[in-house]
Amino acid sequence: MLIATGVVLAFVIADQWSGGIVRDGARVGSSFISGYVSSAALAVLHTGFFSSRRALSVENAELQTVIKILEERIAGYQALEEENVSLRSLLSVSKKNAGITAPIVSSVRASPYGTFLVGAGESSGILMGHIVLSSGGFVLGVVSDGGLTTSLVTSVFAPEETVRAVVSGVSILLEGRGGDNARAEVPRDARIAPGDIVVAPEYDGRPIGVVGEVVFHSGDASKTIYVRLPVNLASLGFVYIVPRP
Amino acid sequence: MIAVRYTLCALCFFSLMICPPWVPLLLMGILALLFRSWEIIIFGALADFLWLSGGVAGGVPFFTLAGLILAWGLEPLRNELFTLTN
Repeated sequence: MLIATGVVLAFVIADQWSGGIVRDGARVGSSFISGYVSSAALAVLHTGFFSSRRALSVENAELQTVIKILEERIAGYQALEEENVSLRSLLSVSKKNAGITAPIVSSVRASPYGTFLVGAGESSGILMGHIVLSSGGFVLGVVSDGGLTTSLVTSVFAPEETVRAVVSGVSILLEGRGGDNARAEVPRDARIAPGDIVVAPEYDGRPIGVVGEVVFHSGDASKTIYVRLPVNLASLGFVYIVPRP
Repeated sequence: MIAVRYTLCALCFFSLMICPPWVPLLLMGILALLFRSWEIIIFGALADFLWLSGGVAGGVPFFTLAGLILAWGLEPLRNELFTLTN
């Protein structure tokens, strides 16, 4: 254990001394492993092993009519089609902003710090502080650590992150709570309703979330609003990264 | 028992990258209780190298500290358990 502690200490010093080579290497390795694991999981799920009996019987009927090789090709085409749809949806964002499209190469739920990895780094012109957008133009996060081929993105609503925002003309300070949720206190007479769009001036007035719930008790001097990101990060394959204005 | 240790280590390693943070933390806890496991110190640092911007020195390295506390802090309890079982 003493040796392990020494090794960790040596890695920390080496990482700081080299400007992040150790963490960059770890992240590249992790993105490869995540990719293999997710493709293996998809392959297992596509076998139908975890489907319900009804779904299995339907699938069996379909499978009888299709040759296995052909089915494999169809699955390949479907994967390409999904990727194509995902990239096309990002086209509308890319027309308005000059930036690059990058794949998400890690799990978005694994990080205890509200971070995730994207498969583009300094070699693609991605720098710290660049803004990460969804296909709908919502700000997902900010590049907080750059590697050569991967970048670490800190979610806008990461735990303990704060962001100044505006909702229905009211200026608020949002406190990130993780899980793509944030909370803010607003004056009790502010007219804010669920569904209102929250924008952030520091991200060039781009939307960062929608109001999910407004909680108000008659004795309180303020209301509490809960803001969520209207995008399921886990379902995103690609993001769009633009320089900070 | 060595197979259990290797299995737990493998699970912990992969869960660092694909599972919610409580999963590797739980596995690290189990490893620390069952074995004199130096691996959890490495796993803790790896988690922070992966997910903390700036690496282990970039902020409060929660997982590295957890690994060190579990490995070193549970030493007396682990010794007591080993004494009881043997």
